[in-house]
Amino acid sequence: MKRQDDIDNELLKAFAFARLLPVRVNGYIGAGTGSLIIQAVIALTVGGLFALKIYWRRIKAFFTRKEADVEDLEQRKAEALSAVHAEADETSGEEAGTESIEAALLPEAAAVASEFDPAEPGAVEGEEGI
Amino acid sequence: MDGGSGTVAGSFRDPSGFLFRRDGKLLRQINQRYRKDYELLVRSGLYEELNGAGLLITHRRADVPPFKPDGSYLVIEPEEVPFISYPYEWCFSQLKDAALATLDIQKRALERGMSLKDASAYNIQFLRGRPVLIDTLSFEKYEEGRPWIAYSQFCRHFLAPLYLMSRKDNRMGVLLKSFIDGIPLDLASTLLPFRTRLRLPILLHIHLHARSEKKYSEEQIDPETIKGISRKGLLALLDSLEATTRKLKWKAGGTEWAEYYDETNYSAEAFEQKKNIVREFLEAVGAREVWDVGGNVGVFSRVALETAARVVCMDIDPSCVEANYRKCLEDGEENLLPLLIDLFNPSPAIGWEAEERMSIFQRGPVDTVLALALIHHLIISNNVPMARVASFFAGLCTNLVIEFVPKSDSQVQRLLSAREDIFDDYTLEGFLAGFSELFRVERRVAVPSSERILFLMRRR
Repeated sequence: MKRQDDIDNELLKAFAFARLLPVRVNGYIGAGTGSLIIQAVIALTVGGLFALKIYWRRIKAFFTRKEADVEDLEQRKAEALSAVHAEADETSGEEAGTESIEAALLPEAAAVASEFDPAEPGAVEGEEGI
Repeated sequence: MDGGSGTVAGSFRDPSGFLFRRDGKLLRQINQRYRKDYELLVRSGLYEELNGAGLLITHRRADVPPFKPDGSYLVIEPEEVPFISYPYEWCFSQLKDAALATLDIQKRALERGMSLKDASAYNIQFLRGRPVLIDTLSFEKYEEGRPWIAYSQFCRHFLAPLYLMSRKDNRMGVLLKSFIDGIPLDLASTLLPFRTRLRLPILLHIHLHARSEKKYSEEQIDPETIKGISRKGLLALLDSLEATTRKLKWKAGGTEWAEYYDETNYSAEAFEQKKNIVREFLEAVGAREVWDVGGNVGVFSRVALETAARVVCMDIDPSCVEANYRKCLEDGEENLLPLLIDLFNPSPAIGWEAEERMSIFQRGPVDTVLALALIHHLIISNNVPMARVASFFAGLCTNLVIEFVPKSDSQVQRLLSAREDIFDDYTLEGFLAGFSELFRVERRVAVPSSERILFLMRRR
């Protein structure tokens, strides 16, 4: 037991190299200081591995890509484009659908939906920058 | 939870709102303090996306007065889950699917500028056979740099029990019954084999996580020094959690009943006959909601589904529940819920004031119970007197389809082989006498080419 604890302590030290900006954390469930600290360490560790994994895939793809793959890619691109065009044609209908969902869920949604400006602060995607 | 009016016992922790019942209808009050997050959930399109993917419970605005008007913003009416089940009643793959659903929800939420503020396994329920988040108020606005507040809870509720079931013993999920907020990570770290430290995800998410929790619980630390996590870092963390969860394999372990149907006392023909008799009985009573107790891998639950709208199949063996759940997925069966229930020690009411999570009995009664090839286990393996077996079933249902297995049956002989036979009233006469006070026999059919008899009984 003691030996396992010592080993875990040493491993913990070995991984503790995270240095990022401090952040204030509030939540209705206690997240636990130790848990938040290790989360940052893990994010950095797996973040590095994640980046390596993606680069490795790209390198592999570069060397293994064949004519057929390129043709396939072109084909898929064309399909995706036509799907986007088809979607654009239906956009007005979709917007109406979204409004009706909001109206069913939010109290003043019917009124808000018509005035709703996505760029307005506090309103969805504009502010989030996603 | 009662059928009338009042707040729902398990819904008090989050100040964002709570569930209540009015005139039997399930409603959720949302408080003003959650208004912005709720509006963001709807307007960001996250509600629609998750609901469309079957990951978040459907709700509609309810034009009814709030339960507590002070601080109230809105009342919504969520779709009601017909049968509430708990993580300690799920098999490995049910818990794994619930974990993957939680991670999928969190990834989609991040894409739309929100984040899960909790990751409780109790927020996931099986609806139409698939895991769905039932807490509409689990989302908050995501801010760059903020760590995932529910990471620790996710590890305790999902990862720790899954690792323990996969790497140690498939029965370890029942530990969740004792630890209502998930298996403490230091306990998981102690129980997992030492060699699991060689697996990077287990080393990080369990062993070092547990060590870090211990280290900093003893140290005073300025919250300002807690480090933030970039969005990419958070996505990598979720990717790691998802990859390790996805890779986890169910460990069979030599459990009792998984091959039961290969060892029964029935020929294939007699087995088909038994199915026909059960089918007839269920049709005769017009069974709607059925509990198949001791239902093994759910063969007779599937017969019941031909008549009933919903069947819950309960068994003590994790291998059976696992096999049953996988078959449900394969066949797209939406109305059959396999659960791990030990009838000798069924799920009690647990949590704050022993009210947060319902006992199995609080989730009944149902119109019909199937108790096939079960009575000898209750009486001979567990020494329960006949009259108490009858009162047990009388508390669960109106219609009872029960199989009497006589002492001469080889399965009963097997149970008696290593013990003294103290069961003088374990006879057909004793069985009928024990049940006669509470039940009336409606039908009685002997299973062809066996000594067993099927009874259809109705509660008096």
